[in-house]
Amino acid sequence: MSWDHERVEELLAGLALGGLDGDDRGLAERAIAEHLSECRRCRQTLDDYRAIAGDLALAAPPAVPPDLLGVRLSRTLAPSPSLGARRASWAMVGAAVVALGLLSGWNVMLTDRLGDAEVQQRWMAEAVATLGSPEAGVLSLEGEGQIHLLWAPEAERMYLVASGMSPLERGVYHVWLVNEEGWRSAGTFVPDEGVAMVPMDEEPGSFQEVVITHEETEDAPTPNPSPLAHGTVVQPTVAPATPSPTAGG
Amino acid sequence: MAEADDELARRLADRDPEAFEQLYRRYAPAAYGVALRVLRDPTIAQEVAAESFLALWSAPEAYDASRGRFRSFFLSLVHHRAVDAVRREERLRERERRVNRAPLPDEDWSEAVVEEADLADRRREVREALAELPPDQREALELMYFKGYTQSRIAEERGIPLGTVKTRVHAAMRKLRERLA
Repeated sequence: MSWDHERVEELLAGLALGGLDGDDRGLAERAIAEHLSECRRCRQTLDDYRAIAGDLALAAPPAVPPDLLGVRLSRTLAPSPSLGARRASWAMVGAAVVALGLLSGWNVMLTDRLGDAEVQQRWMAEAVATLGSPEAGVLSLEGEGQIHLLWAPEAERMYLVASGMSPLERGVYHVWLVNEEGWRSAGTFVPDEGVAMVPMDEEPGSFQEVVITHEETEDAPTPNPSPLAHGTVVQPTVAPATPSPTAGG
Repeated sequence: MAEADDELARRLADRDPEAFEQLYRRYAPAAYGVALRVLRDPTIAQEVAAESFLALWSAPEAYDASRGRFRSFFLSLVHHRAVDAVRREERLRERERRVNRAPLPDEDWSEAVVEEADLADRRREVREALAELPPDQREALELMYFKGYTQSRIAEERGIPLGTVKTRVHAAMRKLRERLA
């Protein structure tokens, strides 16, 4: 088949822009295989058109990417577990104490309330027991307020404890767990005087990220792309001490 | 001084996370921006941007410096993935038709992003070159590039011959080549 430069360049324009379909796509691929290998002019045209097609992306307004994007990518490039564990071990001591102090404060607040107080106090007792385990893990999230995720191998649940959270005019705070397969909801909460606790029926090894977002409704199908807080699980960490429930004040 | 793209791309081949981070900081707003423009869905746009950066990390050798600039290579990669996604998610079109036919407000996003000078200069050149195209050529090119339409679909939706669409797209690309290449 003889190839006409004009016709080939027309095909290459559509190909570079991703707009060919059906026969034209096949024809363009054939032109590349049969004609471009011998035609410097059309090879240069294809390179130029591809460069233009790439730069046309700049005609779209740039947009600040969601924090979650950077978080997910940084997880891919995460440091080795041994390095992460060394860094985490000291941080976890402070986090454990803070979390216990938080729970104690919450307990005091609840003594004046009825309704869910009994349930919440039971959660708190379980969370304290979780943190008291020699193999307890604590993940402190970065971002809004002070948020800690507590777990222990023998505990039935994980607990998310939050303080210093901004009051919400509407909607809820939503807890998302992220792994290689995507994200899943792990619960929602509305802070009570900035404090909240969320029990989670989850396995510690089943996710690598915890992300907190603000959502308009409790049944949001996907996370708000601008997370308020997040934390990356390097590996289950060990709280080296077993402080008493009053240790954090 | 900012490190050149080609040097960062070379370091990527050595699995250098710092080089990846620099390229991410440099191109994430452009990558997410074009994905958002094509998809009009922040969640899917984020997925496309993430997949594109991960593809870059996984196979940096896909970039051949002798065939063009890294910027064009990478943004083209993002664009193709966005177009693939929008064609898979045809329901997005329906949502767009129901919710919002108006163009997204460009200036609201642009103001929040600080780019390196050469990238900002190139962005301005590309926009000026697009603005100089005759309206029918520009429309055909933008429908294809930012909406993910094929040439056949443009012909069908605009009620014009397929050959006319091809001619307009080719003429537009020739003008852009003269102006930008």
